Amino acid sequence: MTTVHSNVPSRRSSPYSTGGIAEAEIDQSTRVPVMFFVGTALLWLLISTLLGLITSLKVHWPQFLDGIEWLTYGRVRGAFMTAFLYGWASSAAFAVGLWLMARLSQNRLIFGPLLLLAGTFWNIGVIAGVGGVLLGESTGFLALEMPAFAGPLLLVAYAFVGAWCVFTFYGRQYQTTYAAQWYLLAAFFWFPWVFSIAQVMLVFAPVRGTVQSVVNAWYAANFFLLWLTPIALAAIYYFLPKILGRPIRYYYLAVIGFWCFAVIAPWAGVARLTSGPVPAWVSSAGIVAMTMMLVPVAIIAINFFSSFGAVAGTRKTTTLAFIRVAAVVFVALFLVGALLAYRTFQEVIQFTHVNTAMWMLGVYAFFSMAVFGTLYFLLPRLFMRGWASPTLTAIHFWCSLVGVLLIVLSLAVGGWIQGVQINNPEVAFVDGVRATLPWLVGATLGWIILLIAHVAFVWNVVALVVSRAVSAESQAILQANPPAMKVRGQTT
Amino acid sequence: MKNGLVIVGGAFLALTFSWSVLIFFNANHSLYGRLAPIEDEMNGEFVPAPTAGLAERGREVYVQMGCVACHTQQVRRPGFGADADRGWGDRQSVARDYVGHAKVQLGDVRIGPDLRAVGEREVPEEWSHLDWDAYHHLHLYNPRSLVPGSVMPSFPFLYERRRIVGEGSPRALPLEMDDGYEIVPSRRADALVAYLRSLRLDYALPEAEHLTVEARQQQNEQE
Repeated sequence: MTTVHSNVPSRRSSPYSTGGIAEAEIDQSTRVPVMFFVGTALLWLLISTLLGLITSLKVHWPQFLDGIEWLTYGRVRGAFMTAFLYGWASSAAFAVGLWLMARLSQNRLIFGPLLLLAGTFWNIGVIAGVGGVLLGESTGFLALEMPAFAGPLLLVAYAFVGAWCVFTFYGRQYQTTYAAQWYLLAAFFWFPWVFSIAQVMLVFAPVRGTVQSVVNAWYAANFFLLWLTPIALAAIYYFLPKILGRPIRYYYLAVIGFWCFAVIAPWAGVARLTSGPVPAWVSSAGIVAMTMMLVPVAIIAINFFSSFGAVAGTRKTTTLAFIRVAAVVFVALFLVGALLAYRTFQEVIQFTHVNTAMWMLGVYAFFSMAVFGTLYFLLPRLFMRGWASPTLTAIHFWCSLVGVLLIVLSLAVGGWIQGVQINNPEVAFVDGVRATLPWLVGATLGWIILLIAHVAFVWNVVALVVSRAVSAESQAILQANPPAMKVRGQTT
Repeated sequence: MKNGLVIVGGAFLALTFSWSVLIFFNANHSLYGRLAPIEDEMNGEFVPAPTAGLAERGREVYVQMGCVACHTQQVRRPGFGADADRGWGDRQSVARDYVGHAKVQLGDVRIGPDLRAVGEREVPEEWSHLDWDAYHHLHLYNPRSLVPGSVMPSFPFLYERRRIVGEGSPRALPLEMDDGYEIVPSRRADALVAYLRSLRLDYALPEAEHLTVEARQQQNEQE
């Protein structure tokens, strides 16, 4: 049994396959907390898909569930954001982050079951957040809608997860670290930092006037750029070489990519404040940063894409399919994002559905796809049995891909029309709204397809968990880690 | 990289740098984060005027209902977009306009129109027989009764439906109901409408003088 996920020189010369802890043992040490976080994340995924579908319906069909206070559009939208970002995305990031960190550090996750406490607190926090928003306790800040009492709960719960991740890293078998570990470590450090800054400066001791808007834009963007993005990048850096059986090419560039990312990304979020009542240099700095992001993105793209190439049949796994989508979307997202940040485009799209399209592209087509890919690899190894149904897997993959593309494209076109109409004072506002409706219906169709995808996925996971029999076929899948890769003629 | 401290330390420095410039510096800048209302030399009053009590409670209703999910409260400068041409405000909104706002609701999507200066806007001509408050109460109660094709949610739960006693309430909405009931705004509805009415940009600020429609026209003529 060999571990193949790195092409760091010292690892190749290290007695890797004999000295380390068996992968199966590491996987089992993470089993309890990872199962818990995956389980709750999937519940939140279903809930947020329903909430997302309701918000999407309400935008073009206002009579739908109209006149009910807790289901009014503004509240459902806030509840959707909270459930998706903190319920689904963050719980999934915990599961993926903890497991990846244990594997990459060749270290058991100690006292894993204690993390159930953290997981329970986290979920109480998210329930309080979503419930609070629906009951009218929203803070009114984007991506931080949860009421004041939910924030500290989440932070305390998070502290455990973050600490466990760091401990696991510090007890690592080999001094040399791998790119995925840098991103994981940074993400687990950045998240509590940006979250507590936003909580303090917006909720507990609010700053004055539109400085709040700067903090909010900074936080909402950094939640994606410094928390979800590095987790997904770590997963891609881990799986590409592991599954393809060949090292990341031009790996020596990865360290430059990481530091460019770390230095530039925290500035990129404020670009959206263009022409707003904030100092003009703030949004200018954001626009420059969005363009400069192309440097780390290009480096990461070189790492990823040069590893793609032809793939042998046995290596074409579901995980690879999802991870590849995530890698392609990652690059597309920042290319388009850098372009759209310029004021010429902002004049049209600044306040339109295009923002939502970009958001879905980032948190779903990039981050969530990377998480799905990880789960297809991870869950069979945690439960020691194979996936029940290749059909459900195929439904999940294709429906999530088609669904999110339909949403993104519909909202992008609809949003562009919306922006053009709003900028034409000859057109009555309500007529501009009317012109976007067919596209918003398209987005709703996309949400329905996503719902199908998620039901198929959860069904598949439940089938995997409850199935007693371990088929010979799935046994074979389990036993076979991807075939060992050849590094410069030497088999590891 | 072999040392975790280098990664964590570097990540910390990178984020702190961005925070200290974009947020800490701005929050403590005398011309931005520490702005205060200024005295209008013409009449000696301070602008922007502080929000009255009822309107301040209306702001909370605005936040609770999540109005920010569809409405911005920021007017872009004349010439950038069509905000001024749509009558959303005669000048760009600037930082000082928001110093009294407890929770700044700039917003980032316009599924509905901008509301930064909705308090100045007049009732549409075909409804000019309604006064400002009545128009907005009716609109909140049932947007599509006034604006066909609107996608705004209706807020009937902010209104009480009650049996008419005697001559009925003077505050009842001007709706023709033949079942002996009337629709009366609740405290929350009154507060929300008072808040909307308080959203104005009809005062001059020195830093916004070059951001008005007039200044833009002069600039165009010179060109």
